[in-house]
Amino acid sequence: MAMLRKDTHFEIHHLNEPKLLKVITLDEFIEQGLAVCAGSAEFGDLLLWLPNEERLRSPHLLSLPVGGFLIPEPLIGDFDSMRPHLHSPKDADVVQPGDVIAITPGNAMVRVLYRRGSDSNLLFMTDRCNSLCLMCSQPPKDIDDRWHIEENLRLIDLMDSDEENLGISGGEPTLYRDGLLEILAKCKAVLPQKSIHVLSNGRLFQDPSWIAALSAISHPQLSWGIPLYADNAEDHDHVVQAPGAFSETLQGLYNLARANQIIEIRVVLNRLTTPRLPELAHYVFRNLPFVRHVALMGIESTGLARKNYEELWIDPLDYQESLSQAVYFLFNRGVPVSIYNLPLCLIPAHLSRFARQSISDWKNLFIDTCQQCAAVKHCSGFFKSHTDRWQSRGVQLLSTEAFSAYARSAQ
Amino acid sequence: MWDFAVTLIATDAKHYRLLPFRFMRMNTGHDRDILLTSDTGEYMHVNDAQLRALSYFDVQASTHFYKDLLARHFIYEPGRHDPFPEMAAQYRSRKDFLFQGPALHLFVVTLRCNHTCQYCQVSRAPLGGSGHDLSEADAQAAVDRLFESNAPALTVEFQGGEPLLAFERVRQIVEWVVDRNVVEQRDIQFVITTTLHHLTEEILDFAEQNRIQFSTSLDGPAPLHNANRPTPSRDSYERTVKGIQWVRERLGHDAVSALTTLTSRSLEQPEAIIDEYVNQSFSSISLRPLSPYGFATKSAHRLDYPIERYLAFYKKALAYLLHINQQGVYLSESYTSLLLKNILTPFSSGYVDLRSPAGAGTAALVYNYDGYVYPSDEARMLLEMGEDGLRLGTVQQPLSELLGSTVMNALLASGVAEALPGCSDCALVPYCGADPVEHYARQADPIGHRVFSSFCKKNMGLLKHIFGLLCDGDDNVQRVLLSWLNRRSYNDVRFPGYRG
Repeated sequence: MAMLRKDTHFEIHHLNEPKLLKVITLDEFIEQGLAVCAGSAEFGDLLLWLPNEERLRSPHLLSLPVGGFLIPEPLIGDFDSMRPHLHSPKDADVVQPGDVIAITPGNAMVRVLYRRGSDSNLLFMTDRCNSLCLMCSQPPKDIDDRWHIEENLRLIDLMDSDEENLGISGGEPTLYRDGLLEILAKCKAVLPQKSIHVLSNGRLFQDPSWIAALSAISHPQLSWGIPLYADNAEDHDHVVQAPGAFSETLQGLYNLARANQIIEIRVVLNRLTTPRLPELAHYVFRNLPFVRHVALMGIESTGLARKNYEELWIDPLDYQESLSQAVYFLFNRGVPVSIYNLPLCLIPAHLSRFARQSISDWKNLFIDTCQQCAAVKHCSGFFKSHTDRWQSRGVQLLSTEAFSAYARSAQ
Repeated sequence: MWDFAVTLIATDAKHYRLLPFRFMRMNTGHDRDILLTSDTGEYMHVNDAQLRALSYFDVQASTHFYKDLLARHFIYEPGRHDPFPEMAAQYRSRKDFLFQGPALHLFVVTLRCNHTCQYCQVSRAPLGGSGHDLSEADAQAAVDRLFESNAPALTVEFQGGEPLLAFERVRQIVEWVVDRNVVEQRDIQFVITTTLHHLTEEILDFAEQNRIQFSTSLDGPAPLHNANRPTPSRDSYERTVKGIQWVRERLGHDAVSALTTLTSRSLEQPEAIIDEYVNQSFSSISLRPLSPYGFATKSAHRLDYPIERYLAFYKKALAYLLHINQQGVYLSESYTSLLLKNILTPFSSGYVDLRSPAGAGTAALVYNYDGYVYPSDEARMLLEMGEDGLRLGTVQQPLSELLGSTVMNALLASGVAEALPGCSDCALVPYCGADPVEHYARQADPIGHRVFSSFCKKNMGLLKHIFGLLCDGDDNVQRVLLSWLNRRSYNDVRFPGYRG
């Protein structure tokens, strides 16, 4: 698994306005036409994937009424059209047929908003947030960025209809309540095969009017990832830097349960959250028995986390026991539990069955040590933001023998 | 960064308030000898100094102990986090069984039986006896009552006597229920409680078609079983074991389960009884003491035993079970598993005898052969002893009338453990239940006095013992108990994890 960026540069011509375009091959265009998009689309929304060879062989293709053309290589010969066209990608792997891209005039940057077949696609809702978590990987911005709602509604139309996981995230997506509800309803109508996972701090759900709103949508494959950082208000509120947040999130969780929503609890592992991790597992099981999954997640060393290094950093080797106590407490009581973002070399073999390859493909990194490691194909690896300062003293390559102990332990 | 210290109410010397809790000395001999429990079943083991500090408002904020007390709702901080939503959720989980009507429906299709067991719980009629079978009209009315319950999952259990002696009635009832269920769409489980002596190919064919489970009695190895369960041919054990094998061949290994009745004789041989269950490859064993019903009370001088003897037996048996489970045999003790669920999870097992409000009538109904309806199996046994005070009415009356009867009112008025004298201040009450029928049977008073209550002695004894194992047992003991909790293999529970 190699990290695949979500943007690259092209040479872009004849683009007069910002566009969201669905990349489509000629074969797909002939066989499926607009049906390649899950929702409503026009020919002008399509960007025809047109290698030089095809264009030179059949120049009349340029008269197709599509929104533009993408030459996935350096341009050969003249391009005889006034319609938008892109060529000479800096990284030819980034944009592929089926993807949906965003381009703006005067900017060579091409952003991939939807990648065909990936389970890491995301509807990004906003940079705003009502919390200010000490380890936030994407520090919030106090701006009006409602335009994300329109872009996401458009993006949903242009996606493939296939079965994939789709995330919704921010910032705090519930801040744009009506926009979020509209997007969830549209996901249900246009992308019924995609399971939707929304990341939210859950605080605004303390308003019980969400219960009727979410029940009305009744999305069959919608789940919520809600963070809980402690079994008590003082510790949780400190981590999220918002007094009262613990009480609000708890009431929010009960309201989500009343709306029959599928709920996952997420805990970021750091110096503040690990000392009472077993007690937190106990608290979740006793008070939130409707929770379907608990994710215990290694920290992403970017954003505010870097600023708060002293307060947050703990070597994962130093919380192994706490992690193990929490994981087996939940597992033995039938609560599905996973460990995210921790490389296999940093967890004991007996916990490897709970470890997932959780890091999104576009920011997943394997460092030099990993290259000869027997476990590399099964390991979460690191975030692309990984630095030496955030590296455990336990990072090492596992020999084939060592890894087979992990594999045996996972059975 | 926020400074929370300024939000504390500076004028109040007490920075926390107590929430309702109970406590009990466990006499374990070690430091943390006091069990603290909340109304909803959270618990902590603490030492004397901690209990004193807690009650004198002397626990220092921000300490580990303080956070434990907060997180488990033993205390709260006025003006800060309000724990009532969590406590409400815990109440709701623990009393979840109240949301549905009776789920267990026992059909006593006949009182006839080929056994002459001295302790028989239900009395019996001779094989050729007449006037001891459930009539067709009453059976039909009972099926109506069954579907009047709003429970989404219903268990239809056939009892006797020996129900296979009235198999035609069993067949009829199953067919009526299956027909009705085309429209009703409930999740229905049929169980026949039987010695398996009267099995036929025809019965097994019918059981296969309707996925009927069998529940039998196996009291231990042949000498013990046959001594407990006399038949003219003295081969009760052999015929039951043959029946077990036959059911398994035809319907699969798990189509039959077994219960043990413990006579005075049984209490001397826990290992032999357990070994018998291992040999017959059962995955659970039920080590229940003799009930004070049926013939058992009349012959009490020979058969009954003090509950202390049962508790000593239970401890030996459990130790042996824990040992063999660690050797790779999966055999759980079913009552222990129920208590473990009550202790280790926010839920109640929902088991009829461990409910508060009491399960008699609210969880289970018995349709007796004579057309009368009883709130529990035990209540109808009182009838056979000459007590008719505990019947709810006749099977021809609608369920709402039966559940609104004077008897139900009396049972429920003495059926809320949290409000009973002797129970209301017991630290174990969140994990226990109320059994007004047993207290009525033993003490002629549905409330009863705890000091003379064998129900209380039994459950206190078992709960204390299990709390002791959960607190002091080594990792492997924990693993066995946790494997019983979710019916997982011992090897799958590799580590016990946080003990809570």
